[in-house]
Amino acid sequence: MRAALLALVILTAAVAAAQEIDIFDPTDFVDPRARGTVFQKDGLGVEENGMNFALVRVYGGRVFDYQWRNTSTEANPYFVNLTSSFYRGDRQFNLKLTKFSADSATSIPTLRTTFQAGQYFLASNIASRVLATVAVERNPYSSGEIHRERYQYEFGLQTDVEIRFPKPIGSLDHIDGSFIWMRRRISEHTYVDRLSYLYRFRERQRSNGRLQLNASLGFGAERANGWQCCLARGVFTATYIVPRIHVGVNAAFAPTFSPAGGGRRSHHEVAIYLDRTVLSWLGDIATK
Amino acid sequence: MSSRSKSLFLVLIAAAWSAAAQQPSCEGANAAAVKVVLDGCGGFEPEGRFTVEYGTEPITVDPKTGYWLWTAPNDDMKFKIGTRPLHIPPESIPRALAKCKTTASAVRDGACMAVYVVKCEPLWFVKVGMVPKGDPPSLTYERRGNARTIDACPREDPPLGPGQVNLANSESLLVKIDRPKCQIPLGRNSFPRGREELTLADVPVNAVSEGAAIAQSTANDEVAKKALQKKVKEMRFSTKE
Repeated sequence: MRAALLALVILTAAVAAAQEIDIFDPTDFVDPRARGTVFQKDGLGVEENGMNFALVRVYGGRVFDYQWRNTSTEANPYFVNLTSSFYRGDRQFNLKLTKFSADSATSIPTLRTTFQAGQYFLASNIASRVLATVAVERNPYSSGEIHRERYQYEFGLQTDVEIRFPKPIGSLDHIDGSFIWMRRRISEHTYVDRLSYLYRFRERQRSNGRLQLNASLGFGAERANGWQCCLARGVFTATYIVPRIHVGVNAAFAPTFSPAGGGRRSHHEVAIYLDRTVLSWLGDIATK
Repeated sequence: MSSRSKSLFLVLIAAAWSAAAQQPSCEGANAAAVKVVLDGCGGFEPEGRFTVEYGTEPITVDPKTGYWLWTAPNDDMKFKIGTRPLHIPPESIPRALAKCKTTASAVRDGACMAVYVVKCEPLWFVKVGMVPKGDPPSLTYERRGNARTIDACPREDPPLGPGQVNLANSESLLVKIDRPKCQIPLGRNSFPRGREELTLADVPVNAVSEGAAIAQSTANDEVAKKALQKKVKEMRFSTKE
């Protein structure tokens, strides 16, 4: 019963800001064991590092009704997103550069740099991760009459974990996804906190792996002058990998429901974009 | 309904019943013809006689005549349509996958004629070749059908390691690799028109990581592909025969 309540809390009340992650942001979780990493018996720390791995991917296209963090911008920007990841042992480092190009009347940051450091561990033999994020964005409001800082930053933590429930819950015997907390600095002594949970459905494949169907659900809340609950967002993405050139053609749809606040409560974000892996390098077995 | 309409209706029913009664019945006869019609075998033409199992009894069908005359081996055994399913052993049609058990349809082809319409699918073949760099990874295969796949009898297992696998038209193949733990899905449309051979660079490699909080990610697949490329000098998938 307690577990059932916990599941209910997580899946519904766990409040919800919209999804933290941009509609086009790829998942970069890699089970370290796939690289030959051997964890210590308690799941914390490694006995062997395995192989180092570096991955650089580029994404580019257009988003319609872009949801910037928890805000509906009603802008239709073009974007380029360059993500680079480096994996070593039970650690991971990401550097992401995102450039938006939109009508000057819209208020979205034109440039964002994100640095992430991840620490993997084993929990009941399940590979899990804690990911720390620091992001710097060009302030979209800095050019107005009121003096504002040119750049804004935010930081936070994300844990990717699988939660197992006792049998009575049946099909909910495990859920996998991410708990995310982010704090954004608005001005001196003023911060906004966002708390969300992102549940990822298992990928479906068609056409012998060429067509990949992914879906996720995000729930969250935001605290500025008080907690504002509960935004919910789904992201449904279809990716077709074009043979020979290995370019992914992506179409994503993300409906968002935000019951709190005034104005429109539902938004329908759509993204059309291409992606390509530009570097994929796997080193030799590294000794610790 | 007027009395005239009622009379007409009764006359029609009587005529239909009379026609049915005149249909010769084969129940209890000790000889019958068995007709086998192959449906959807993609131009399969048997070169000679082939054997089918009529119930448990093996019989030989001559494709020229298209039917086989069954005679009861003893007086006690009587023909009854629909009681004996037909089974075509897979080796009888080497280039098609036939439905495992087919029951006879009605006697519309004539009295004492059991018509078996055996549905089948043409087969295609994938040959997997591998040149490992050192200790070779183990390869196993899984045939994956869909709702259109013929309900066939158990087939010969695919080989262990490099080799050739036969697949029905609607089936795809999952090449499973143990180190790194990954799988390669292959279907008919994996081979673009005009290409009969693919290399590892041409096919998707899906990492199998069930013990991870986030099971699927492109990054995981990239690691799996790279790790596999480190283990093998060459891996080829061919539909050439």
